[in-house]
Amino acid sequence: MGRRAAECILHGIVTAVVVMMVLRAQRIRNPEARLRCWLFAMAVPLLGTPLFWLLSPWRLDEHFRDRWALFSASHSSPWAWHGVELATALAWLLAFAGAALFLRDVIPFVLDFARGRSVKRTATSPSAVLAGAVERAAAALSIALPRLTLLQSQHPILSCRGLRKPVIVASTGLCEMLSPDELAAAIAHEMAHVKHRDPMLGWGLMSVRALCFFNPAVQLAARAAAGEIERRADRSAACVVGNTRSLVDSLRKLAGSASASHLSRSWHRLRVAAIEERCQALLREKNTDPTAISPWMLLATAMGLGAILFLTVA
Amino acid sequence: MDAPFAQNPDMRSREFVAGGWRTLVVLASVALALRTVDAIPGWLSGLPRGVHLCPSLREAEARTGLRLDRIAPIARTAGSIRATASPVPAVAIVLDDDRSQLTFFRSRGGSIPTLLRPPPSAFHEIAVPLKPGLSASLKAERQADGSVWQDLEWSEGEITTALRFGGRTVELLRVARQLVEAAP
Repeated sequence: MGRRAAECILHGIVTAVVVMMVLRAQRIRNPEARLRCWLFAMAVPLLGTPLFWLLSPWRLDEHFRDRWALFSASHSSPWAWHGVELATALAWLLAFAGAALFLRDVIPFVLDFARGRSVKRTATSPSAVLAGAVERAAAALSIALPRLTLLQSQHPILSCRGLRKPVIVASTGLCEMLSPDELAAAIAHEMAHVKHRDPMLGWGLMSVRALCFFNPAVQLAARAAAGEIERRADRSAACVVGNTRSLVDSLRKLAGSASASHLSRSWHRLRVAAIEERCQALLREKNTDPTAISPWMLLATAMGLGAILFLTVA
Repeated sequence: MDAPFAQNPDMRSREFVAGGWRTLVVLASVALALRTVDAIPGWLSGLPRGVHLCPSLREAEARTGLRLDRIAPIARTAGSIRATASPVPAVAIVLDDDRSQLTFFRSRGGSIPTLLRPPPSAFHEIAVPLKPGLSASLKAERQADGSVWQDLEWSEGEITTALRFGGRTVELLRVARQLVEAAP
């Protein structure tokens, strides 16, 4: 069991490295394409590695390791300290790192979720500006009008929730803080999440993370995927409002005003840095970049990676 | 890809080939890095690929599937244990002895691989009975320093066992008979 978990970690790391290098080498900047690549990186240790075990159990034999494997963790067996092999110690260390990454993200996620539920009771009717922004964004994105909930709260809250029937949740504090243009851009961002069914994807990502809590590569790939989901929504919102500057301003205002009461200081800093990176990307990039990575190229990469992983044994 | 594909088919195929090369370079670099990391323990320990230094007899048994618990009567502690899984599973155990170094070899399904035991260049070879119906081949070889080492090898079924010893032949035969008697 331990060896299999170690192989999941090893395959996750190799896949994440290959995905990162391919994204750089092919200069892929489109969030949609990058998101698919990171989802692939998450799926490999979850589905690909167990498939290897199922179809070729002889991969784990010593004969295969010694004769064919590109890498076998068992080759480091002479290195031991007090009876604990180096490879085993390293696998445990990586598993702890994976669990730490998972907890670091899941705790604020749960706190955010609980906070959202607690303020739900004080809902009020949305203003005309807010309702108009939602209607315009829905029309521009060609989606059905989602339910809009306005919360009576001084905190600037804006999120897209709901798995089957998405709901846009905003607060009175948000409407007071943002100018109409900025509000329209922020709403367009959330409506883009509705269009791409991102709440469902977000829960899916979190489920995979919980399942592979010990795998640091899966945790990092999920973080990268979450970042691409946000970038994809940013791009869609910029297209809808036709004004990148107002979206950037709204993002910066929201990041700056995020309450630190429920977030640790370091987490808050990380969040602000991530949002600033998104703002810079929005200001730098054009929205006309198509996703033009060839499916044949993707297939060839996947096959090459599959061959490498087949020959990589924990 | 970030840059839009060119409309010109020539340009498009050129970009496709360039992308293919870049992907190939990435995959080759990762494969090379894995192979290098895999080779590091071998470089540091001086063991050829496929030969493992095992910390215990149990680990050697797990790696090779050979039973080694019966060698306990012939030595108090194992000095170093090397094991390999290919071409046939085999172990080489250097046994610490007060008088002379004794090396024990065992393999299953074939002769002991040369990775573990270089073939002896014998100047003398005779057949020695170990028990009724079982004889061993005893070879003597002279080392570069002038000392003579004995090499005794026998097979029972698919198991081949060999002993290399720098001491007296009588002592080597006594150890071999102990091992044969202890065998199930």
